[in-house]
Amino acid sequence: MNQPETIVKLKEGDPAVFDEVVNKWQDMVYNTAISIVQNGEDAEDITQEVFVQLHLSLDSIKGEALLSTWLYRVTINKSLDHEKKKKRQKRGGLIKSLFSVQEEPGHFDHPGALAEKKEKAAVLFKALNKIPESQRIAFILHKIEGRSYGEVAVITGNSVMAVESLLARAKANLKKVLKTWYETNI
Amino acid sequence: MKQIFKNNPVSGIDKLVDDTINSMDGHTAATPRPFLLTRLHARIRSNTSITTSWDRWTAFITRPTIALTGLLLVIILNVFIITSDDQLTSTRIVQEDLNDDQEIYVNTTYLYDIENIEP
Repeated sequence: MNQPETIVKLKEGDPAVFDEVVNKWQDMVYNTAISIVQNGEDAEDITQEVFVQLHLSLDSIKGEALLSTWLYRVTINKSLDHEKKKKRQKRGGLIKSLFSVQEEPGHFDHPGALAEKKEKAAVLFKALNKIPESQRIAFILHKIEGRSYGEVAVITGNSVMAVESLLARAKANLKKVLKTWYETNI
Repeated sequence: MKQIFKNNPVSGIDKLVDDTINSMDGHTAATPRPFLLTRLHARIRSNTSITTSWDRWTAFITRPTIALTGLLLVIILNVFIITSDDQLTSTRIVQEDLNDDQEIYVNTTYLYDIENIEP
C-alpha cells in the first residue's frame, strides 16, 4: 500500500491501518525526536503525541501529502515545542534547583550510536545544542536520519539550495564549536 | 588520543572534529520501549473519552487549581458576609437605642412651662 492509499484508508477509520502505520513509522518518529530532545522518555512521549495527533487530525491531512513528510513535520514541531517548554521550566526552577541534586547538563548517549563512537557522539550532541535551530534540524535530518537534500527540503519547506547552504553552515559552526571544546577539554 | 596530539596537535584536533561530526555514521536505529501501540491506544481512549460538554465541565472544575480557587472564594465570601453583617447589626443596635431614648425623654416644654415661667 503506497502512502496516499494509506491516508485514504486511515480516513475511512480502519483501525488495522492505523496500527500498521504506527508499527511502520514509530522508529522514524522516535529517532527524530530523540535526536532533537536528547532524552529517551521525552522522545517516547513525543512519539505518542505525534500518533495521537495523527488520529485526531486525519481529516486535515491532504490526500496527496506524503504521510512520512507530515509525520516528520509534526515530530520536529512537537520536539522543538517540548525543548522550549523545558527551557522555560529550567528558568523557573531556580529555587527548586537549590534543594535538589542537579543532573549533568547536556550529556546524552544516543542508544543507537556504535560502541566505539559513543563518546564522540555524545560530544556531537552537546555541540548540536550550540548551533542555530534550523541548521541543527537540517543536520539531524540529513546526517543522522539519512534523508536526502530533496527530502530535507520538502520536510523543512525550504529549497534544495537553502538546505545545502544550511548544512554547510551547520558543519562550519559545528567545527568551530567542537574545536573550541576539544582545545579546552583535552 | 593524546599520542595523536604529541605528533601533530593541529591536525590531531581537526581529525577529531571530523570524526566527531561523522560519529553517527552507521548508527543503528533507536527503538522505543515495547508495547508502544498498547500505550498509544490507552492514551487515545483517555483523550477521546471526555467528549460531552458536561464531562468537559466536570473535568474543568475538578482540576485542583480550579477547585482550590473556588473553595478559597467561598471562604472569603463567607468571611466578608459575617464581618459586614456584624457591622450592620451594631449600627442597627445604636440606632434603636437612640430611638428608645427619644421616646423616653418626653418633651415637657409645652403649656406648663409657658404658664409657669419663673421670675
